[in-house]
Amino acid sequence: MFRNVSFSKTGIVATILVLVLSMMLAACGNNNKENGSANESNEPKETTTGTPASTETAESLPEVKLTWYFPGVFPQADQDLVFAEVNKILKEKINATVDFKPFGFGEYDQKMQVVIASGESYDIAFTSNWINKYSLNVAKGAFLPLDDLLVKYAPKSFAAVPQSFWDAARVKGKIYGFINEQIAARTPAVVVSKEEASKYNLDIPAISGKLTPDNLHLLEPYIQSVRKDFPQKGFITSLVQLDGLFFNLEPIAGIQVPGSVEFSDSTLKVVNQFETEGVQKFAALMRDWNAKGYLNSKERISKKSEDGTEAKAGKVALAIGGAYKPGGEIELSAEVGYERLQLPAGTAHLTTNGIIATMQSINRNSKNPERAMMLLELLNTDKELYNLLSFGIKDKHFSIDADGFMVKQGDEAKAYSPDVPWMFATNFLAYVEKGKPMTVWEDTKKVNADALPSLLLGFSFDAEPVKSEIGKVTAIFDEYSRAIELGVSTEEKYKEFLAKQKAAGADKIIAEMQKQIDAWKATK
Amino acid sequence: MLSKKIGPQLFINLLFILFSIACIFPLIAVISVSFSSEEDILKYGYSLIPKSFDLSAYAYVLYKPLQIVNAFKVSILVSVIGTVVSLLVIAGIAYPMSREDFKLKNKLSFYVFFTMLFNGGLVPTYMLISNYLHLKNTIWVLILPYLAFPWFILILRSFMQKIPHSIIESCMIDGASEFRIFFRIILPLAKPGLATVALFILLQYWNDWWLSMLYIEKESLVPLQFMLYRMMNNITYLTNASNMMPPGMKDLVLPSESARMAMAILAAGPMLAVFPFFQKYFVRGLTVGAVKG
Repeated sequence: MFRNVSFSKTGIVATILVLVLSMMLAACGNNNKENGSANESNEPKETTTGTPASTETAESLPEVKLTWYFPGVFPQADQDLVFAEVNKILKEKINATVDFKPFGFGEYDQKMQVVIASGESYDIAFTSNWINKYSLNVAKGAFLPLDDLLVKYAPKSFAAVPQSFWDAARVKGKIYGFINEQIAARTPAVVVSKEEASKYNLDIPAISGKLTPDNLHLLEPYIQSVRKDFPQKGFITSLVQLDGLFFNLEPIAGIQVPGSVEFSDSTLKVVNQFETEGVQKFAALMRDWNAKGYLNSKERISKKSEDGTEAKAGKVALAIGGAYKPGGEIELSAEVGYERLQLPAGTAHLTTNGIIATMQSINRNSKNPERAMMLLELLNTDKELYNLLSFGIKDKHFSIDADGFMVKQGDEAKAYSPDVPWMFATNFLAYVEKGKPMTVWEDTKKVNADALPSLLLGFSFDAEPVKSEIGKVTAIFDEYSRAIELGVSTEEKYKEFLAKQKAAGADKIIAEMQKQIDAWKATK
Repeated sequence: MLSKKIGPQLFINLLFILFSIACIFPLIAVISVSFSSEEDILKYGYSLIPKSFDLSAYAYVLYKPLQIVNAFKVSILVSVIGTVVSLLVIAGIAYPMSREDFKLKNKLSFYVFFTMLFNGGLVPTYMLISNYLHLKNTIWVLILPYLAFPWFILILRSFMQKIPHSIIESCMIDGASEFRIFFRIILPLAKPGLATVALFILLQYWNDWWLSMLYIEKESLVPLQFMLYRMMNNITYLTNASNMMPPGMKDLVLPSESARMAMAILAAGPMLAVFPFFQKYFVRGLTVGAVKG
C-alpha cells in the first residue's frame, strides 16, 4: 500500500505545518467567537422593543420562525397534524411559528451534542440533569442566561414557580434553564398488588413513608405469606432504584459514584455512601433474604438492571423503586393490567436533581431570544395550547367527559401520545386523566411544598476534574452492585468492593466534591 | 486407503457442521422469538421453537404498514443509487491510480490514503453538510458522504493493477480513446473486483443509520435501519435512565421483545437474499485484491 506513496521531507514538513496552522486558526476562531458572544451576553440584553411583553399585540410583532429541539417518544404518526394546529394558535397569539424538532430519547443526546457544537442558531432546547445535560452545556457556554428575559417576557411563569426552584437552576448566580414545574420531590415508591395487599394484610400505615434500612425487615412476614401461595413472587429492588434517597442520603454524582451528603447534616460533609451503616445494613439484609429465597436472585442476576418485566410476568410480591407521585398508581396499574398500590417509601426530599429534571433552555446563538421566552410563557399559561401539544387534538386524540376528566380515544390516541407532558411546560396545566383524582395537581404541589428541601439546593457538581476516577468507580459499581443488591455476595466481597473503589480514587472524588461544596457554601 | 481418509475427513466435516450451526443458531433464535408471544418470553425466556405460534409481533410492526414500506423504499433507493454511483466514482479514481504511466499517480494515492488516516471530525463534517451544503433532510445526504470510500478505492486499485499494461497499450495503438478503454476494456475485466466492492458498498449503504441519525428529521426520508436503531435505542434508554427521569415514564407502551426481533428480520432479510448471488465473485475478487495489495 505504501509502495506508491513517496514521502519527501519537504512534503512532510509542509503537511505538518499546514495542519498545525489550520488547527491554530480553528482554535483562535472558536475562542474569538465564544469570547465575543460571552461579552455580549454579560451585558443586559437590549431588546428592540423595550416595552413589556404584555402590552404588545400579535400585529405589532414581526413574524418569526423559532426552532425547538426536544426529546420524547417520537416520531408519532399524527405529529405533523398536531404541530400544524399549534402553529396556527401561535401565529395568532404571538405572530410566530415553531419548527418542531422532536427526537427519540435514544438519539436526542447525540443529536444535541453536534447541534450545539456546530453553533447552529436554533432557539429552544430541552435540557435536564439526565439528558442533554444542563451543567455540562452551561459550562460550555451553550445557553443564554435567562434572568432578564424571565422578568420581562415571562412574568407569570416566573412568579408561579417557587423561588427555590429557580435557585436550583442557578449556575454562578444566573439562571440558564426555564423550569417546567412538575413533581420535584423525590422518594422511592413501594409498589404492591392491591388485591394481595388486602388479602395478606399489608400494614400500610406502618410502612407508608416510614421505611428505612433499619425497619425493612418489617416487610418479611408479608413477603413470606405471599410466597406461600405464589412461590415465584419475590421482593424486587436495586441500589439504583433506591437512589440514595432511601438511605437518607443525597448522592452528589449518582448512586454509582461514592460521595453523598446526609440530608440532615448541616455541615454538608461528603461521605462514601457505601461505607454508611444504612447501605451496609441493606446489603446484609439482602444476603439474609437471598438465603431465604425471597429475591429470585438466580433468575434476576442475568439482567444488568431492573426493567419492569418481572411485574408484567407476575413475579413481584413487593417492589421498591422509581419515584412516588400522586396518581402514579393509575399508570402503574395500566402498565401491568392489574391494580397496584403505590406508597412513598420514606420522607420526600426536594433536591436539585428533582427540580432540574425538566427545563427548556434558550440558545446562546438564538436570533430571537425574547420571542422564544414569549413562547415559553405562552405554553406555561395557556392550558389549551399546552394540552394540544401534550395529548393531541381535542375530540380526536382525547376528549373531556362530563366530569372534566380526560379520556384517551383508544387507537386514535395512539397516533399521538409522546407521553411527555412534563417536558413541554409545567405539568400542572395538564387535563386530569380519568381514574386519577381531580385534585392530583394540588396534591402534587402539596408534596413538593411539604418535601424537606435539601441543604444542597442549587449546588451542581462539576465532574470534569475527576472524570477518569468517576469512570473507574462506575465500572466497579457495575461489577459488584448486582451481587450486592441480590444478596449473592459475602461480607468479604463487600469489603473487596470498598477497597477497589478506594484504589480507583474514591477518596479523590469525595475530596473534590467537598471542595466544590465548601466553595459553593462560601458564596451563599 | 479409504478408511484411513474417513477419520480426519469426518473430523473436519464435523468441525464445519458445528461452525455452521454456531452461525445459523442465533438467526433461528431471532426468527423463533419473533414468532413467540410476549407472555411466553416473559415466562419461559427465549426458546428455539416457539411455544405457541404468534403473529402479533409482525402485526405490531406492520401496524402502520405505510411507514415500513416507505422506509424500505428509502433504503432500497439509497442502496441502489448509492451503489451504482459510488462504484463508478470508485472505479474512476482507482483506475488512474493503477496506471503506471499516470504522472500524478503517487500524489493521488497519497491524497486518497491521507483521508483514511485523517478526517475533519464529526462537528466540522456536520457543519459542512448542514450549514454550507444544506443537504439536511434530502435523500442526497444519505448517498453523497459514502461515495468515495478510500479503502474500497485501494482494494480496487490493487485489483486493476493486475490487468497487464500491454492490453491498454494495444488498445491505444488501435486508436481507442481513454474513455473507451476504461468502459469497454477495464471495467469488464475488473468485474470480480467490481462485484466485491459493490457488495461492500451495498452493505455499507444498507446498514447505515448514522447519516440518517445526524441529518434526517423528515419522517418520509427515514430508512429502515434507522427505524430499527431508533426503536432499540429508545428502549435501552428508557429502561436504563428511568429512575433519573421525571416519574410517569414507565407507563409507555414499549414494543415487546418479539416485535424487536420481527423488525430485525425485516431489516436483515433482503441482504441475506442478496448475498449468495455475489458470493462467487466475492471469493475471487477479494483474494486477488488481498494477495496483490
